[in-house]
Amino acid sequence: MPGSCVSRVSLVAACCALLLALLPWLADAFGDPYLVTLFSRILIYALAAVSLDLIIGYGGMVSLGHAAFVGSGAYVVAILAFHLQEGAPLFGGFLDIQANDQALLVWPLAVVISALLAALIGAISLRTRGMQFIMITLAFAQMLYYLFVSLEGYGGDDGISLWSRSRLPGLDLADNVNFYYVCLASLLLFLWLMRRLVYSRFGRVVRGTRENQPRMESLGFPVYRYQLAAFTIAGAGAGLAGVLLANQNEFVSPGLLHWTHSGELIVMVLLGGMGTLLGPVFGAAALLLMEELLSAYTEHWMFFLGPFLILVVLFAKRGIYGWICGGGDGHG
Amino acid sequence: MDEPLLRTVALEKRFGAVQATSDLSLEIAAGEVHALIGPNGAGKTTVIKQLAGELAPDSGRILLAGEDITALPASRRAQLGLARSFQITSVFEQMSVRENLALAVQAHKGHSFRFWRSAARDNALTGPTEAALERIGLEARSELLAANLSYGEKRQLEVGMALAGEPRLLLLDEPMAGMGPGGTVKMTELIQSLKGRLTMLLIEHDMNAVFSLADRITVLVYGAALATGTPDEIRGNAEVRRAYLGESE
Ligand SMILES: Nc1ncnc2c1ncn2[C@@H]1O[C@H](COP(=O)(O)OP(=O)(O)O)[C@@H](O)[C@H]1O
Ligand SMILES: [Mg+2]
Repeated sequence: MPGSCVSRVSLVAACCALLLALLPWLADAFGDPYLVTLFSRILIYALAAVSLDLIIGYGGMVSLGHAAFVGSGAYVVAILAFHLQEGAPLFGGFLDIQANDQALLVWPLAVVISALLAALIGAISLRTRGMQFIMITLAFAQMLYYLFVSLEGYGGDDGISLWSRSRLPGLDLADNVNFYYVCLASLLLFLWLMRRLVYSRFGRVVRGTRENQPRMESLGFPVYRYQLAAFTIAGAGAGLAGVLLANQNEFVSPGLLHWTHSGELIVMVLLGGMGTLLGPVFGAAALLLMEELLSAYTEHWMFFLGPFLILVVLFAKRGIYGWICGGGDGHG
Repeated sequence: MDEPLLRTVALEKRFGAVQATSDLSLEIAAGEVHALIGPNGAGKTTVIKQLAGELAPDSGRILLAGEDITALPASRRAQLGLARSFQITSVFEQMSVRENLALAVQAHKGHSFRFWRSAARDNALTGPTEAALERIGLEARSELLAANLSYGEKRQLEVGMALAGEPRLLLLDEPMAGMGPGGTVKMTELIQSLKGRLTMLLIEHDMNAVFSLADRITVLVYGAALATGTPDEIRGNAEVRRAYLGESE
């Protein structure tokens, strides 16, 4: 029953929201401050996975290069901070851009650059379909990966370490609890935007295109431009996740853009429930928590996690979301 | 004579050795119901696909109200008022009946780069959507996913979506295909009710329906027009009887 599905998911979501809101106190009570760091990571990956679900789940565009946009967002933060640290002018001083670590400036810039990159890659990739689309998004992401590996000035393979997190007026982001709440606020904001978007005219076109592209064309929708817009918005979301990840780790490396990282995001979406808003959040939490628990016992944790993931994807139609739903038909 | 609403000039389409469309020059006058009949494999669907912009003809031209649309993509043609229904039902199974129709309406009510307002509560869409629901008589089923409709209801939705955008020219590819007698009667009534208000190209195998609905009929055999005329003329055409009507009766 869709009705009971919605109410069950709402209940679980409310419990999770409460838990997340209180997490810093819980961490304190358990005497385990690492929990704050762990859950910041979970929130950031949830944000990236939600953005990926817009194109995979709602749009039916299976991209295997989403980590490229996470990486680009992270590198914008890192490169601007790096120049501030080194006192070296950006682009050899050719462009009038100042090295910077002000969040209000750097973060939007990073998001915009990730979105532009997504628009560029999407504009080319979306001329293909199916397997070809998967391969071309993968190829673009790998190209960027090797580009950053080859940039010796920015640490090449070893990446860049940041001296500190970005600066935000009135809020000390060096404090892990403050930073945690910034991550939580970012995720909630993005979820809210996605919720509006999915049920807007635009979202309806994106959903329709996933299901039946020829019919969309024959109804009069030039679907390419709508798909490209969705791809760009998803890139912006991933860019924001990258910004937060760079600040969380105070470190970036080309590994962020590697295709295995894109694959991990896809696993989160599949595990949590494709084409739902909250599914990817559940998926990110489940994957990172299992990784954390299993890696405490064995370094071959992927060996145990792999079969589990295969079972979930094979037997739970809509991952964790579907399971909470009780196998119903509801929409998130 | 007035410029016909739709005109094809020497349309040709070949699939390998198969000549699917052969030197076809059709004229569909504004306001008429023009039926396209012919045996299976005659190339009827291929004509519709070329008119709708899903297939490019090898040569020849297509004119809508005198304007050459041969090179326009399908979505652009739809916006110019050319709508079509599919022989093989093609609806959005995971959307409700209402949302299927709303999507069809939305295609003709401004652009869809609107990211914020709920589409379900968009007044520019809800009115025409309700009218479209009523026209095909599926009000009681409006909240059901299209996947859960019966075959006949899906066919009604299929045609309803083509109608929802208030097209100038409606291309119907076997709207009654696979329907029982009840469904066929309903569909005939629906098309009858649109007659005079809408120009239609109707492909249909049900000869009773064709002869009662059509103003003019074109008989297609091996991709070529064998004859065009009023129902009476076609009935009386010896060549047509031999090539097509005779063998099916
Ligand atoms: N995409 C295609 N590729 C190859 N042959 C096709 C294709 N589409 C149609 N044909 C062939 O073209 C001819 C006309 O098909 P069609 O237009 O579907 O006929 P009708 O709708 O009149 O039954 C048939 O011989 C069919 O096999
Ligand atoms: Mg056919």
